[in-house]
Amino acid sequence: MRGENFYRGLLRILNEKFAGLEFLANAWEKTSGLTRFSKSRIHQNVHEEKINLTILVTKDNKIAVGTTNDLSTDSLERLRENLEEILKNTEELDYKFELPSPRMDYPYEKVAESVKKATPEDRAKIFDEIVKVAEGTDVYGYVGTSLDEFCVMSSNGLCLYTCISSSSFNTVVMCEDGSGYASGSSWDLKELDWEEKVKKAVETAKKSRKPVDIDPGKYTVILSPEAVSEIVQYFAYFAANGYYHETKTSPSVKFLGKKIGPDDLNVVDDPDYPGQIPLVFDMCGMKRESFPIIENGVFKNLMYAYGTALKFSKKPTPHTITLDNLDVPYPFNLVIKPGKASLEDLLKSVDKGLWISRFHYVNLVDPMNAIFTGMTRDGTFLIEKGEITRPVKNMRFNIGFFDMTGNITGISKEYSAVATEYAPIIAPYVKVEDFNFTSKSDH
Amino acid sequence: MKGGVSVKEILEEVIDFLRKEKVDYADVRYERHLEEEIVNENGFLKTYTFSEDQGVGIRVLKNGGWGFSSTDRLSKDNILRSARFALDIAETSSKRRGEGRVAEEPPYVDSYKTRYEKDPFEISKREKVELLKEAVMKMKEVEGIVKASGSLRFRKIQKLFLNTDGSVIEQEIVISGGGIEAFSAGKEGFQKRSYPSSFGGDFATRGWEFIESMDLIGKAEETAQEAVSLLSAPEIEPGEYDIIIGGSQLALQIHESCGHPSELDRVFGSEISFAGGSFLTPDKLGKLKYGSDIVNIVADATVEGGLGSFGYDDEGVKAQKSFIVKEGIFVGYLMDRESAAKLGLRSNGAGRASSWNRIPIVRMTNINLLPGNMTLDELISGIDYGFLLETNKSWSIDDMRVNFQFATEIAYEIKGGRLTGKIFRNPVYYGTTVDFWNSCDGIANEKYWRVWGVPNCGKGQPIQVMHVGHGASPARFRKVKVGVAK
Repeated sequence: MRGENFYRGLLRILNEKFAGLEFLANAWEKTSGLTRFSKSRIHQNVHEEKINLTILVTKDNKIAVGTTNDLSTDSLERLRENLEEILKNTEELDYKFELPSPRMDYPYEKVAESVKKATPEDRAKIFDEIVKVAEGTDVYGYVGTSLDEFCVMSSNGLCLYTCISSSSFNTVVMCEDGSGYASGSSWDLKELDWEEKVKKAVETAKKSRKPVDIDPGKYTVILSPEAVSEIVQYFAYFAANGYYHETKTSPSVKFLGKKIGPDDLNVVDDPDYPGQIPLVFDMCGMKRESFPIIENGVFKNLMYAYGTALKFSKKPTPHTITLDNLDVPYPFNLVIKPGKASLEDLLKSVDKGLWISRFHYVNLVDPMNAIFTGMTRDGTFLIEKGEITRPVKNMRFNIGFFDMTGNITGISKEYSAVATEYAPIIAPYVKVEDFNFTSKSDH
Repeated sequence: MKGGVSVKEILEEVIDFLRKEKVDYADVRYERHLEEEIVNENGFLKTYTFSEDQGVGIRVLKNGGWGFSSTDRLSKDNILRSARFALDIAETSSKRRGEGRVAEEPPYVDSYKTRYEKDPFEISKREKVELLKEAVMKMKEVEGIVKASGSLRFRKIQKLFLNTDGSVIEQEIVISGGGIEAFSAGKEGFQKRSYPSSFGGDFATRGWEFIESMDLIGKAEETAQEAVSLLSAPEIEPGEYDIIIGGSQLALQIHESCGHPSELDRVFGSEISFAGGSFLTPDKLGKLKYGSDIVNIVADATVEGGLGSFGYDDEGVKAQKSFIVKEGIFVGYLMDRESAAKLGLRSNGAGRASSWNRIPIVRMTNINLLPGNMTLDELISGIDYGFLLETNKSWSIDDMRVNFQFATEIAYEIKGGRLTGKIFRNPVYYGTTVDFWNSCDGIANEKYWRVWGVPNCGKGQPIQVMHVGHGASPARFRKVKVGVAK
């Protein structure tokens, strides 16, 4: 951890090395460790320390972007030469570019000592415990820790600093031909909630042995937080994307502002939500606060990355994820808010349906109609008269996101933080009618 | 150079240190990556980015436990600190029933460089910008096009690899690629056509001459016109049809349903919690009728220009060619040194890392469906009613690589053994891997065969994005399910 003063010093150097050019820069240093296990043995165990400096320079309404992980004088001079050559050989943008307005804010640090001082042995001890909890089965997964320092700087005075710690895990429990899955995230390794989740995954693995074949078709389903988060993440990226909306390649053209689900369907990007690992400003330095995407069942807002907003005369939202492409927005702290129903009551209300533990390889089939496909995995069960009765073989679904939200008939008050490549996604269990399964697999 | 000492001297010191620590095996890799990307949208430059990235990764196997540490702070002291840390991590792993070992390999002292005619980093920025602009403008000028875009990407990877076997290998890999896309929009949504392939185009380990050979400007108008025509095209009535899959789509089919399941680390469970496992368990080796007799699939890192070509993998194993499927029978895996050792075999050179800060894991090289003996006309003439599907739009396959579903940008109708000229939009086909490959009854010959580059294959935690290649020519499949029940 280099600390805020290092980045203030870096800004002084950038002001000197890039004098005569306006610039916006992101510096991100990651120190991380990840312990991966397979068949209840540690098989991969890695550590990484890396800094990235990305700088966007602008002159005469042109932009050029360069990245380096070498902060030496020679390297920065080489970077400037390259960027100047790009500016010299390119034309003006088709919109008026200006740097984000400078703003002041306190440095934000949320760093747990448990992560800052985490050793490979600390991660391995969690692995030991997971193996113990899952005794008699085989476990596969990882335990990871990361310390991320991030600073947005600009030639017009931005200098915003944050440092956050994070930890996460996932585990697939295998028991003969049955499997179960668990994942979780926390800013503090001590608060990582692996124990109860792994116990449930063991239970799922044991219950999912010897699955039976059922016919594809439309079923009432209860989707786990893992399954809900996977689909909503795709929706947010593709359908709540201001760039796709403005270029008329998004279903938001048809659905924005419309009632698409029940009143208790609320999807927000919220760094302050309990359980989130907060990113407090985006790559352009915009302050990040709770941002409703779906509110009381209405598709409320789109995310506008900085470049898209300038190009289409919209207000940017705090979702710019990279300076390399200023049209890409991302909800760093996605939350599907819990509802009021209990999971028990949701289950009891299903006469005949399916319990879905997890999806695999979800992808967009038809972007304009937000039709997704994907497979079930790690525990799919038949629900009969309000009870989970039998495991079933995995099936493929094809479903329109807005058909799905229109068929939501229950959202649980229970929720979970699901681990992803970035911050966790907070999601509840959701009951959906007429979920469309179109083919099956042999396992 | 840091403080007058070369990177190579530092890496030699690291290997000496680790030998003294009596490790089972260790390797150290320095890599420097240069990248350039240019994107044009509607005739205006959208982004021009340049990046430079370098660092050292050290991998240690001690008492059966693996450790890896990587750093971009390239002083001698820091790299040696990183080596000590890799050793500590390996010792932690070894206490958890570590059973890692590596298959034997001879040491190599060698160098390899991609063969290319024109270094893309020596081509003027203006020339690149102008070529892309002209291609995009040609598409934008077609009536009905609402958005036209194109991109070019170049990469130069320099690697220095040393290991405790005594290997010292220097490599320089150069990658060039790009493509164009045209979008049309109407009441029922939008349609897209891409050339030469979707999701960024085609890529190869070649120089600027590869970009010139694609003729992006010459193909722009035809690409845009097809996008406009698709808007009013019908959808295929769901059912079973005989189909021909064009080369660029077949490349992805090979990737998902042949390449990934044959990765031996997946078979042993290394990826179960993330990318998934594989149905190709060792009991099927040499026995499973994976495809029809004409299906021959090889892993070949020696194909000149293939995106998955190199001189040595990232474990010091020489690039090679080996069969995965021979005359329809599943006969071999993609292996690194660790997974090969578990089967008592030698690696076939598939241990690859995406950069200095990642460990080598089993990755595809160029996974190629070898050409058959038919012309495209002969393939078409054998279909009474069916479709030729081209250019990937969407993909999905289950965690054991059995049930797949692909969507393509376009379907061309075949009736009475001839292409009718009628096109269909939003085609989707699906099936299961072994049934599908056993339904293959015709593969086009060498004239139609080429290696397609897939630059974005994701695997591993932390994630690694790898560039791989797939040789393919159009092939015919019988009674495939096309269209999805809504």
